Amino acid sequence: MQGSRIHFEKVTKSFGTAIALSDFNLDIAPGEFVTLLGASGSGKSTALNILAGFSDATSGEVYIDGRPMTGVAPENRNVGMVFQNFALFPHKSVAENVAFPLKMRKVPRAKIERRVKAALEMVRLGEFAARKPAVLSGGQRQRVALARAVVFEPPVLLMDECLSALDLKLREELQDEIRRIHREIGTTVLFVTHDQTEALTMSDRIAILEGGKIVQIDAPEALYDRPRTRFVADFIGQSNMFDLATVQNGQADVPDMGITIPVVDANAVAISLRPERIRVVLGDAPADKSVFEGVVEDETFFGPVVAQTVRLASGRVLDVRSQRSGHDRLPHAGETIRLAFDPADAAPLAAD
Amino acid sequence: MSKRLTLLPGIALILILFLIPVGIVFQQGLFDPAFTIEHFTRFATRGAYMRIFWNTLQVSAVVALACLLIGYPIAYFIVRQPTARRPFLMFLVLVPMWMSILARTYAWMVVLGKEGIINQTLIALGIIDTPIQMLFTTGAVYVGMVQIMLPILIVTCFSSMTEIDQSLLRAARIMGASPRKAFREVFLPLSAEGAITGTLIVFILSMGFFIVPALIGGRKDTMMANVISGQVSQTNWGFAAALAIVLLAATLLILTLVRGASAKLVHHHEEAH
Ligand SMILES: Nc1ncnc2c1ncn2[C@@H]1O[C@H](COP(=O)(O)OP(=O)(O)O)[C@@H](O)[C@H]1O
Ligand SMILES: [Mg+2]
Repeated sequence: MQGSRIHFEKVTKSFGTAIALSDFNLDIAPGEFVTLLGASGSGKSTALNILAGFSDATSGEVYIDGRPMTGVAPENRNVGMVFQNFALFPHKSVAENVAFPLKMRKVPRAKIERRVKAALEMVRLGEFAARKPAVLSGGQRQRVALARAVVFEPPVLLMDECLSALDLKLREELQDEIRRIHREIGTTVLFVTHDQTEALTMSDRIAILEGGKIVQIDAPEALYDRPRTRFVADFIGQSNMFDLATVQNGQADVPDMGITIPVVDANAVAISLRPERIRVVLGDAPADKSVFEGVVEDETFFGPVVAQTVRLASGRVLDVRSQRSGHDRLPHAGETIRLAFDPADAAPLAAD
Repeated sequence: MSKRLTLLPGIALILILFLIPVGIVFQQGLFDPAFTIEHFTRFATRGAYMRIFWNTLQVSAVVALACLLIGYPIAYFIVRQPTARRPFLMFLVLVPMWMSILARTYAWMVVLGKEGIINQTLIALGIIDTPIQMLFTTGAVYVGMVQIMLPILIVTCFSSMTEIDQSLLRAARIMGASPRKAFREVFLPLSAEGAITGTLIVFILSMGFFIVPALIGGRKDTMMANVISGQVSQTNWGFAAALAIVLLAATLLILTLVRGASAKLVHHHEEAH
């Protein structure tokens, strides 16, 4: 099966004076797994609901395979959806729930039975077919909802924070399951979550939402290594951010560190440095221009990794994560520590 | 143990207010002073009483079904409104219940009478020359009773409808159901129990109705409660009690039958596919 191409074009949505989405643009390739990641109220559900046809955009247009969706009822969009609360029909059995989309499509009975069976086996719930949703556990309900959403092989699959109600272990299990199903059926997935780990592990690309706008969209790695704004750097993983003084001729001062680094991006106002990208300079290695000093304030031992907080001369504190295998002895709390980093690892940040 | 103790006042109240009076009614109907079924044979063999009994059943059934047909769509309409607007609409539904049934029935006399609003309007508009007989007809009884019972049904339906998770309807739509199909497949079955309960409550209350048929019905619209009241005023306690027992038994029988049938229906619906 082939997934659909999805395109949001300049979509805005307002509820009275409140703006839920503004200038929302997103192009998703067939079969791609894209995650909308953002805090509560950032407009994730609004985007999904407009794509599903539950609400109309105030302006702009959504296209599925190039076809504008305005005026197309949800039932005619051929989209599968998993709801946050699962939305299983309490008066129908598991099998009837999963059969529902096929029944609505007037699929012949024998074929419905076959496909429901296959879908329930895919989510390993074959023996629960006759049960009511009420007697199932949270994880099982989630699986039924998933089977129901994909049983008609929709070219588009939407999922709205559908794992957030589950505990961690179950969530990880279902993340694997969702990824497996995505690989198997090749549908285009638009996934919504506020959990960054979930987004990083599952997605081909992640769109970070803030106040109804996409502030950055990239592959997980690129998003982590090259956040473009403070908001994104802060939202994804841990980050040390330092203001830059005037950028000139490709060089910029980092006043807090007292060093000068090459910066290509003339619009950069700050840099983001991941804690694991900062190197501890040991022994009497020559003090070149890129080395700066601080005092270890606190350290946490994780086994293979040590996390340290270092106070710089300027008073700023930064986080450093070091692999212990590379070092005989790291400076301890209260000792002076010399640090350096590869300027290529410092992500230039534009003004928010 | 303490939990049982706290239940005690409630049980005592039910005993005093309900079981003991019913016991007295049974005693009155079946003993005179020795055990006798004389009152029941009198009821069963006199055509007039049987006719009134069937009329009571029929009026109650029609009123209950009419309330369902009118009230369910109203409850559905209110539930579909924005949440902020619902309390006001429910308030409007409940306002008539603040007035006594007697006052409301007299109001119908003003509306339906020969000199009433409807007749006067129709005459003024030249649609009719002479007033239509509306008061003291079966139709008037239906109108009066439905008007009184409707809020009860709407409230019962409404409360069961508000418990339906709106995302279920969205789920149905996104899976390919038209609005009609989503209603039939999801909303209707999930609101059916509340609707059936409401209809039964209206039916039960109607079986004991008294004021409306007495005030705005015709001679042939007499219901069981009117006869019972007439017998009581003639101090025929035994016969009045027997009639009350018949009414109670019939109500319980129908309640059981409808409950059983609806449970089967829901069950059948679930088994189907
Ligand atoms: N039906 C609605 N009426 C009014 N405001 C709404 C409605 N739905 C969403 N909003 C507002 O739009 C914004 C985005 O909401 P939503 O898309 O649900 O966020 P998310 O799913 O990211 O938590 C929020 O500020 C929310 O309060
Ligand atoms: Mg949401």
